[in-house]
Amino acid sequence: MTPFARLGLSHDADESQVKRAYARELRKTRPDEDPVAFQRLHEAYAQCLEWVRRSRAGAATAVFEDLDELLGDDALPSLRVRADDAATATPVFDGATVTGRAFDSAVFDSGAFLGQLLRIARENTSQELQRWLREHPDLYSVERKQALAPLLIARLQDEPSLYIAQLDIVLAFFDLDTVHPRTASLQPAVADLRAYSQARGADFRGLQFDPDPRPGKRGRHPLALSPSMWFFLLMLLAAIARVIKAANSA
Amino acid sequence: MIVGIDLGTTHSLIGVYGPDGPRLIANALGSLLTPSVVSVGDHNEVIVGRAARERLVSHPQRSVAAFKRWMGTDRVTALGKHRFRPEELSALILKSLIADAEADLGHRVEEAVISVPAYFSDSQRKATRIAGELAGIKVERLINEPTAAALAYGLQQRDGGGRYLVFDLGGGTFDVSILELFDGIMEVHASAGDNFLGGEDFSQALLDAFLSEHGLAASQLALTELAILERRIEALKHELARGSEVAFELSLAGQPRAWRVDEAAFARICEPLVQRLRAPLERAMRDAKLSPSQLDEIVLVGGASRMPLSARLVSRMFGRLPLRHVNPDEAIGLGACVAAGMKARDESLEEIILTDVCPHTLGVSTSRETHGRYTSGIFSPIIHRNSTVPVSRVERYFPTYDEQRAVEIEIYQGESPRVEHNVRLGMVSIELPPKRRDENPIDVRFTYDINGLLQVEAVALSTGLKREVVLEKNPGVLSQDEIRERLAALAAIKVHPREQQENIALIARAERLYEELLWAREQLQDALVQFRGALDMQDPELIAHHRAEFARYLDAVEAQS
Repeated sequence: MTPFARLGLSHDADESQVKRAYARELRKTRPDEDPVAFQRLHEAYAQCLEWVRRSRAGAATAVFEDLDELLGDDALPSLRVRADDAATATPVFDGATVTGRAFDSAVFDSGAFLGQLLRIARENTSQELQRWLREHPDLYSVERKQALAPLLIARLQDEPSLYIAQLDIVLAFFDLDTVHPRTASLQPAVADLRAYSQARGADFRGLQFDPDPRPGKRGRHPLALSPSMWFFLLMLLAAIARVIKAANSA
Repeated sequence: MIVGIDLGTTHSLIGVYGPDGPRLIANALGSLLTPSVVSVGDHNEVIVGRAARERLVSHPQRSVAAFKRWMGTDRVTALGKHRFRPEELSALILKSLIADAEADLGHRVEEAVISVPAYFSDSQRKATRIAGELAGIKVERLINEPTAAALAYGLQQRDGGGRYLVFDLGGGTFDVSILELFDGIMEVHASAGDNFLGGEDFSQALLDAFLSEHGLAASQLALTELAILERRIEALKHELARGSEVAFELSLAGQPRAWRVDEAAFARICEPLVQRLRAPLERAMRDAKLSPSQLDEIVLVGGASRMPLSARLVSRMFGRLPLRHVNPDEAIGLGACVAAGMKARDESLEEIILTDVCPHTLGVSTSRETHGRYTSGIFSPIIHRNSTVPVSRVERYFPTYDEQRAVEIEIYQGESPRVEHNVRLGMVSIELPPKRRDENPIDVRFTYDINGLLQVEAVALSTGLKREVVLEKNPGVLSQDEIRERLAALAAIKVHPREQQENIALIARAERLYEELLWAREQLQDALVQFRGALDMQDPELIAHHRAEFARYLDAVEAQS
């Protein structure tokens, strides 16, 4: 049985028809009475909704209202919240709603933004990176932050890896360090990025405690050369000498 | 009749669903809010509510508040000669609420719907159910707090429903839920939260800021001084939510201390806490697959949502202004009453059906092979967070090696891809026949029911052997025998009768003022002796007269402070 048939609908049903049909069926299949049948019903409902929304998405147009002026720098209008009226016990609501602000790509250049983010991550301490992320006014927008996550991963894959501590801060801030079907497609990339960063090792910008400060104990001196390099250098010198000799004799 | 109860971190409410909809019931002192505070008196009798809150100042070692935060743990609080677990302290609150409801309704109350934070884990929910049992009631259902608030709000809006985001910042916990109401169906799309973030933390941040500005440490102060300071800070926080600048003065460690704070300074002090509100909001939106413009309303509930910084954060994140419940303290209690009416299949609610989600991801620990090397401790989710419940899902796994004779399946709850960052819930092991690994599949089924209980079943497909797990006994959960024992112990504890509550609250208030106001000590002492004398006469009329006088006197003293 197709999900639409389960709800007694034809395939061209719209969202409100799907919901009404689900509500009708739910009265016969309550979650507390028949869990198995309920789960099947709910899955059919979710599939129908997904289908309806996908097929409608092509035709949708968005009308956005700019709230920037209202929100200003600190993004705060003076709130119209009335003093509580305790006289009544029934819920009454106050305040005002404003149509949602959405993403405006003309105002926000995500490429430039990500470039800036990566520069901050490379050049600053973990605390500074964290503060920058938290305080960035554009990152307060739920929508913008969501839309940036996949772009961020793509950008990180193109660029030299970050130090693991910095990478983890960025991943945590964009909630990319958790398991969820919504970010499942990004998870292999996230795992690779972490593996590269881990292979890159510790952040050398931080000072490290040296328990044994004898010079030269850790590996070679910067000017020390391997035997093969010595051999190559000698051959090079010999070649040069031969060239000079040949030039002189000519 | 089933009652609805909001068992909160700072205060609790009880009510019923009646012919006129949800109705909250006042306690013996005439207030709908009963402070969730327990104190033990000089004769080891238990005092609950407002009197107990006053005694936090006068008897700090015999009083305790905010114990909801310890639910699901085995932490023990010693008060006088008693030792209480968190579920027992909660049971004492529930008993007091039930006594108020029984006095109002005129009959016994035996069943209840109790609200819990949406982000409460399995062991915290179990502890809440046990608290109900210890209070002598059957907990018919646990309802998530933001869902309750949405029920109370959504049913008010009869015009076809809509999508709501409920921002619930209570005394001790923060929850976000996204719900939709249509055709009598209340569907929860997603919940997220933080179990250790609430109004109490904002008070603590203010207290810490005060102490550091004055070069003091909490350990330098006497318990009573600290309790007085906490009361002042609490009052200051409430005033800040209304006015722009607040000041107070008090004497601490032998010196007068003054403090002046405005809203901007408050916001600065609390910035780290405000930051912690962001992630649950973002996660709930993402899991609900909605954009802010698809929400009809953003509703603020919970006492701590009165702080202007809550509304400010929501407007920055969503690009719109939220609505605030006119009485954010009562929204969840009212919703719990609606849920109780639904459970009792009240006629006017017969048509409403609620579906909720599981707040956490549940799965098992696996290992993965990459380039011939095994990495273990990789979390493999089976039930994803924010799946609609009840839900049952199965995943197939294989043993790590050929000829492996048994597997141990470890069960975890959490969001990290690495199990060490998640919570281990238990284990099931299953024997296998000696075979090649890819011919030896195991099916693991997770079933999560409407009350938030998880069942795990493993089947070795090549033999049909089946193993079920009873999740390990959590350190925070009592056994049935222990419950019976504690129930008897709690029943034996002396509690003052309801009609004495007012007298006890007045005495506790006088004792608190005695600690706070040095200049009035002698007078207060005299008044207390007089009132206690009147109580000894056991003449109701005389007591009522003295009580009115005493209350007037205390009002006057407090007004002068």
